[in-house]
Amino acid sequence: MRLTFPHMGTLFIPLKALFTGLGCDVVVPPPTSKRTLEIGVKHCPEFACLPLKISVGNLSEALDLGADTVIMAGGVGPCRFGFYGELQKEILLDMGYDFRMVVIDPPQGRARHILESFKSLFPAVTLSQALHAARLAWSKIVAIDRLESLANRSRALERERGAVSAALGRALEAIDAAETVEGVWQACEDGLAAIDSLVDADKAEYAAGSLVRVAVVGEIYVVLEPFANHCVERKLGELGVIVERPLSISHWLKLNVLLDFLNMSGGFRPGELARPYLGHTVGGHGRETVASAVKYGRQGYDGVIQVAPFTCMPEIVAESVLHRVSKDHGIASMSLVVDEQTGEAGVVTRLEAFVDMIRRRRLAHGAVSQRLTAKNAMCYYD
Amino acid sequence: MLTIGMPRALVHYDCGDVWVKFFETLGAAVAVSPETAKDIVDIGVSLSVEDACLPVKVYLGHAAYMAKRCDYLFVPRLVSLEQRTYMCPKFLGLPDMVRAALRDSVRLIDPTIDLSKSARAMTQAVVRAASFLSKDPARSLSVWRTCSRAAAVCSTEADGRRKAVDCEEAAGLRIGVLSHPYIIIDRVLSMGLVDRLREMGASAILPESVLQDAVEPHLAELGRHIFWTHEKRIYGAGMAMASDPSISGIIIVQAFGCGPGSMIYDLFTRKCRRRSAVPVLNLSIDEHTGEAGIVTRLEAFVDMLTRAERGCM
Repeated sequence: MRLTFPHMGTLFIPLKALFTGLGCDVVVPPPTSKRTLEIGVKHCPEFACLPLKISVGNLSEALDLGADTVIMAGGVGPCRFGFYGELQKEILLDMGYDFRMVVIDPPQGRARHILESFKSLFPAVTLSQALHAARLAWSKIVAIDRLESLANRSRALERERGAVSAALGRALEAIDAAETVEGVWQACEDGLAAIDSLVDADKAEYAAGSLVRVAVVGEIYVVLEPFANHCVERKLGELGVIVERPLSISHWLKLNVLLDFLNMSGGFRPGELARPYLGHTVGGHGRETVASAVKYGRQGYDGVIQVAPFTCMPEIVAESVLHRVSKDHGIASMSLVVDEQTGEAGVVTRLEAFVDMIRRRRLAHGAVSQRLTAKNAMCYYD
Repeated sequence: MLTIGMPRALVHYDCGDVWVKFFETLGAAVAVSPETAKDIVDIGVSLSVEDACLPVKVYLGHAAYMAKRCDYLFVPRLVSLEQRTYMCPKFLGLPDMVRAALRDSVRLIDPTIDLSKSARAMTQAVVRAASFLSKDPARSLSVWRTCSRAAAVCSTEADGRRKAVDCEEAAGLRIGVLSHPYIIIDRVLSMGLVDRLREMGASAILPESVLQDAVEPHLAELGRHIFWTHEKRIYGAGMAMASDPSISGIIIVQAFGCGPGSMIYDLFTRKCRRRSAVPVLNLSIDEHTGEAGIVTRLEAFVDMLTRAERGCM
């Protein structure tokens, strides 16, 4: 069995570790590229959301490399993601591929179901092997999230443009290569130290209250996949912004899988935070988007950027109410809606304009304007 | 007397009649907005985020129209009408979208109707919706039961009439029209497609008029449960039409950017193509769609089907 799965940011690193540990031959799809997207756009329905198009491209490229089994996460609605597996199967069949499709549905509170579906996939694997593989994969997820989170906070302070992203890339490679949990932690610590060493200490001191802070929220695939969001985190960081990204693989697993069993919500209660603006879950991460905007607004962040694929239903609902959160909590908000037509330059221009707007607003509010005269600040504001 | 306003769009076509009857019996005046007109569309478009589909924009237009003409606006949060099946996420967030668009200028009655776990949830929704009209939950419930039973009888009678009409027109072309009720019933959104087909001598068969018995097997053979109410019906009815030799063609009318539609219509087209040679026309509508373009495509499609019937192709 040669197994493959679609990309979502750096998710391939833990998935590769997991399935290799379960004794599978894993074919990681080639990194998502323009070609990947073109394949997807050609074969997917026009109004389908961007993640479907990219994932079909990924799977097609992986099947070309000799994969024969596709593993995909399922869902129970109402977000379209829950139906991806079925449609991917039909599209790839029409493209002429011969393969087996395995869709793993969320456990809905029962661990046994997911274990059983895994058991039927890998009959020869012992429990201790499976636990070992899961532990290694989990350590990689946690390590990646720590590294990415530090990188997002450090890019604005780097001495040399692009150095943090390069160090992050090296650290991710080391984590991908690590074969033991200890190896992963070592690679993680090394990576964290490497990123820390690139930060300009003087700038860091100055940064305490003066750097612009922005949270990136939205639909999880587009948030986590730099190809889909045009590297929004890196671009913001290099514009001198401290970036916070609440969504991550570990966060998602904790919220949807682990805490479901334990019946805990882990401190972050999206329902409560979002209630004044959105009184019900709307599928996907729509309610989390609104709740995060409230959370970061209360914490005094300057802005929140919602990234979402074009036609994404939950995020359209979130977008409809986001301007109210923005007004009530004094946090600037911007919706960045992407599809295959989105151009790099357009994204850069909008991000620059957004950050400029925040800086001018701050000047007008006198937050850092001691060096400027009131007159200048007013000019900026006008 | 209190006036309850109801936007004639989206959810109204799923459950509007029952609620009108319900509120009237409880002693409120109910005003339903007029049929969609250009000014309503324009207001809706201006109030909505641009990515939303046209039916949602039109709903906001109707809501804005009614907001000035009523004491309460009835905007139910239709989450689910049966187990394991949901409405589109935009239905789930509808009251919130209306509040945001109208900036709280009107009070809403927004009961949450979520029957995904148990049918008893309907009771709570009814009592809550009626709480400002009647302090007696038992009375609200008994009125609700009478109204919903009457509505069920009505829809069975309507089915009977529809079938009678079908038989009368059986001489002409029979064309399946796959679309959401809130698009096809609205003459502006659907550009009067059903009427136009009739003028061309063809009759439109809608998903609602396909018998449930004919729909089920097609849903059952699918590897995966379709978890959207309308689309489940549309897919099953579409497959039933595709295997019905008396149907000469199928027209899909979808809103630009429709989320569930993008998946289900594509799945339908693929499955249909493998099984049957029935021609399928795919029309998508948004606020920029011109009537002439739609009419031209419709005429060409019907012409093609007529020629095929005569054996000229």
